[in-house]
Amino acid sequence: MGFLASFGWSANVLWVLASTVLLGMAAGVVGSFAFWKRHSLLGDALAHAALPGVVLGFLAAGGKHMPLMLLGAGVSALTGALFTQWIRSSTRIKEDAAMGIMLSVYFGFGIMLLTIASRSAGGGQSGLDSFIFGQAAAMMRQDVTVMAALAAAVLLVVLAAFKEWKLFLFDPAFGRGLGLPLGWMNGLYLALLVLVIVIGIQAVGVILIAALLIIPGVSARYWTHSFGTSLVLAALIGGGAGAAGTLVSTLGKGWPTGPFIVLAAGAAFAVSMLAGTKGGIVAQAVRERAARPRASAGFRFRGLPAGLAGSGIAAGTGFGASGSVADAGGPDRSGHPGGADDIGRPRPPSDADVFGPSGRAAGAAGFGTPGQPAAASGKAAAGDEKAGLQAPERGNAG
Amino acid sequence: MNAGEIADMRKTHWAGDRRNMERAIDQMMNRAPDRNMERAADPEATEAGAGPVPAVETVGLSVMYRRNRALHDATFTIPAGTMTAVVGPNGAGKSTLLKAMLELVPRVSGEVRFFGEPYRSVKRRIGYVPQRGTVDWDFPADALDVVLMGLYGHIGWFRRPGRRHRELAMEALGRMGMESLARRQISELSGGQQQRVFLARALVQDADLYLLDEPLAGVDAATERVIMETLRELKERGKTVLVVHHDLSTVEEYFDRVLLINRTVVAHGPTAEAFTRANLAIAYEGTLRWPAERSG
Repeated sequence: MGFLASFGWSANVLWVLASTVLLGMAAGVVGSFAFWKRHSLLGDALAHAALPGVVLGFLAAGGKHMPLMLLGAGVSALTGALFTQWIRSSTRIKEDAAMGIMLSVYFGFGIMLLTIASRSAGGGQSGLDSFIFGQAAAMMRQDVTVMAALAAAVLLVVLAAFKEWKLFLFDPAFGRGLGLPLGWMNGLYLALLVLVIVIGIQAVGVILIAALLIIPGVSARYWTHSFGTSLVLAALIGGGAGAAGTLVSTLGKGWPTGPFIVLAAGAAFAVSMLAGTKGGIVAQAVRERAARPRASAGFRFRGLPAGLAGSGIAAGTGFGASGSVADAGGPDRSGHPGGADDIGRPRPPSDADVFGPSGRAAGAAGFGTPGQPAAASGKAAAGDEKAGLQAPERGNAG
Repeated sequence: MNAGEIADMRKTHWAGDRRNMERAIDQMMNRAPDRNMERAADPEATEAGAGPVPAVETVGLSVMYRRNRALHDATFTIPAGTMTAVVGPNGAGKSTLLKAMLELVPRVSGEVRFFGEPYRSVKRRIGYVPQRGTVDWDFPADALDVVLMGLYGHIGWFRRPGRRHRELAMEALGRMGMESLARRQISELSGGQQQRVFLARALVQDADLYLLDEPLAGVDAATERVIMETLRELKERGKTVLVVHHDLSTVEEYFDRVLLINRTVVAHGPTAEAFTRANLAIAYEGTLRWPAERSG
């Protein structure tokens, strides 16, 4: 603290910094849940739906009474969620359209109430405007406590039932068979989401909170294939964006914090999408490039690391980081020495009889097309890589 | 062995299949009328009446989607230790039937009993393998992670999978010929491999009744063989297997019983009795070009 203070930052900046970091972490984790539940738009919709509640809380209390306004926000967001659900289940309207209707109507209603409230309570003095665009700079010590409690709650909920959440997100129907209380879990997840939104809109506003929910989770998926790691990364990206945005906003007088936080998150996403080791654009291009020559002149690049084989692309796109690029293609090759193909891969003889001779060869040819070169099983090392790279496409097509 | 030989071998294999099939169809043709009668008279009544407790007993099961009737008055019994194919045209309610049995979709009416008990009290004894397309394979997990999910019921709440669980999961992956891909991200698996992962996950559950929704859809021949081999093993161990199946040409080869449905139960019983041309004609409402549908 003293160290930071020596830069000339007031204690207030430190409180803001701590708040935005904690908020970013909580939003990153809960947002990851929403992302894998395919609810990315839900955070946005709920945030917009919270606005009328904030203003109604203000009007009911006759002034800026925080607890009442946050309660209003929560209730309002939940009615919005129920409204969306109702539209979806009782009409033929799809979920995205239902959310679009709900968020715009609620937001419009909220703006209308805001106008009324501003008139009644001495113009812009009410500070209600800050709920639209956020006002992190106004956060104080007690806000840090709230953010810390929020982050702790999220952490506790996620850690306590980590594997249950994983199943809840990946395959709820199967989870139900194992006895997962889907209804309760869904309620808890929604409650956390609403909590993050309601607390977060003070800092970044109803419009930008969605970014803080969605971006960290989406960015994290470009770096890992493990759910646990992706949550940690999402928390780091969210927290990092909170810190970066806050610090940048202190550089200029009156620079807004919320937008800078979102821009920082956006930058993290851009980097992840381009340079991410698991499915980033560069990594993908390198893998495809590395696979292509093998079909015709496989020997040419034999023994060369993938990064070298594909370094032409890396340089061309201005990403000279061939080190990380090599990583990108690496794991599959080095981690699975047998290569990546269907089950026709070299296997212990005991398994072979399960498939029988024709099944084994057909498997080697990729998708059981008898016409494909069965020779692939002989040159497994050469053919493997190509088959492995095509595998995801096949998976998606099916 | 080269590709040509394999192709030839397959062709002859299929041709033989087809000949058998046509012979079987001719037989069916001759006895179709009385089979039809028997269907009406419900052969199940005598068959499962006084025997041991059946694995599944469904009475009057009905499901509505919106205002459409997805399934109406489905009544059937599945004896324990059998392997049954659920067969019917697209939209016949095959998946819906499975989901309704497992209370994944709300029922309008009807009752389902597993081993003589309601679903709630025998959840653990039922392994469900949903259609591959029902999950997002981009989810950050590897094959082993997914198989471990089958053990979550055994592991219990708030605890993490231990080494023993990992070993069990690896064993199941091994049975599916997948141990070398255990650490592979699931989106990088082929469709057939994904299906094997799903089946391995069901295997570690060590259930008594397995319900599989189109496990053979879009998988390669080798995977189909592994899956059917595994299901047969399960049956030999006394487990009951119920499979939504779309390939009519393999029904007789793979299954000892058939449940033919089209929004309701058209026929059910041992394959030879229920899987008749007459019953198929009713179930498929004349849309079936028999036996040419195999290629389509």
